Amino acid sequence: MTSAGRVAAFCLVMGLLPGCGLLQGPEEAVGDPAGSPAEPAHSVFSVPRVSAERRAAIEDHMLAHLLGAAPLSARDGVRSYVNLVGHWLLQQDRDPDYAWRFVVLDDPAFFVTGLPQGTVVVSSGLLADLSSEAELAAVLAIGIGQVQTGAYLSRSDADALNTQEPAMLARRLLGLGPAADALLLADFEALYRVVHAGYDPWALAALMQRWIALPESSFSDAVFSAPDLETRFERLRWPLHDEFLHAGGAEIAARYQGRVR
Amino acid sequence: MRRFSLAFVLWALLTPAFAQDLLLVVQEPVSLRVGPAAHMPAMETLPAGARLLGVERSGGWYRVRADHAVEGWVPVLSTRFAPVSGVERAKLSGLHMKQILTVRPRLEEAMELAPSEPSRYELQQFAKSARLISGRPR
Repeated sequence: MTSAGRVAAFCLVMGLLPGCGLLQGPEEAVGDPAGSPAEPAHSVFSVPRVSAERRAAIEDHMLAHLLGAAPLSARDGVRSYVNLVGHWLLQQDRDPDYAWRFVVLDDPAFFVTGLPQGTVVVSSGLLADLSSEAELAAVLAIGIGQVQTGAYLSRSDADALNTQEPAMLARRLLGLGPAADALLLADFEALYRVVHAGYDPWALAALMQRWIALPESSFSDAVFSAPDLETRFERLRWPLHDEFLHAGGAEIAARYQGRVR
Repeated sequence: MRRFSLAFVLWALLTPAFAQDLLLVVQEPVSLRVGPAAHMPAMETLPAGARLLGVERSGGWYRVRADHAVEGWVPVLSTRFAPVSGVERAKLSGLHMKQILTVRPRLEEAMELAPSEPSRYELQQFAKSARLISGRPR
């Protein structure tokens, strides 16, 4: 299924037809901030148009807050492994509009998110709970999806994104958290991305099932507040059943255990 | 019924190969099959609410052990993990919303974190060593 086809299917499943940018056409899909440089729409939702420089400035301030709350992981081996898996996921379908980087923070809570200019942040606590590279790929693909769906930027209007002071904006976007519909689409996209990269898509399903069984207090409330994991898992039921029922793919448990544990 | 469940829980606890979080609950009546595919013969039908021990996963199927020690395969989408208690990571965490918004931002550190893109060769070696094959149609 093509990317546009997936988006259309996703919107039908979600009942989101009015909110889906690709179905609305480009004029309605993006905002029209005065004076901002012309850029292609980078999300299917109504994400306001923001230059790469602005996105980078906002992202740096968001990351600065996260680094203030939890230090960078000191484990170079883990960081480079996560970086490799992340870039492998991007290899066939890399959006040059973003400066991709994968950051591991040393924190026990489950945390993964995709910031506006291509930074995917994951916590060491979440990594410690995974059992295979396919699960790591699923987690990073979720983060990549959140970058591409503008999970934070879609929380604000174009005017604010293009004129407000980045530090204040970053704080506000972090406070609002990622947008629910962008998160759901990011999960959906993650399934296709892991399959495309050769991993088993059912690792993502099994991972979400495990997460659902855990108490809420395992998860950072900054990125796992809404929608709940039950809803996120239910939205994946259709593509899992209809598209990937017989899908194979690599699991790679030994390499993951060797590099991360 | 209660005695039956108690016996199952005791048996689960005494079986060292299984962790508590591998306890599965059947969500809808489902066939327990001899292999991980819908065309494999069914051994029996498990009712909704039946509790199973997960042994392994292969694609969209879990290999499970039912409470009468019969092993077989059920679809991932027909099951859920039983709730796990006692894990409270976020309480020890700095990555709380409140914390994130009140800490002193480390802007310099954030700006110094340059993207580190592996070379094409590195990625190819990485994939080759695990026989990862990419490029399936998206």
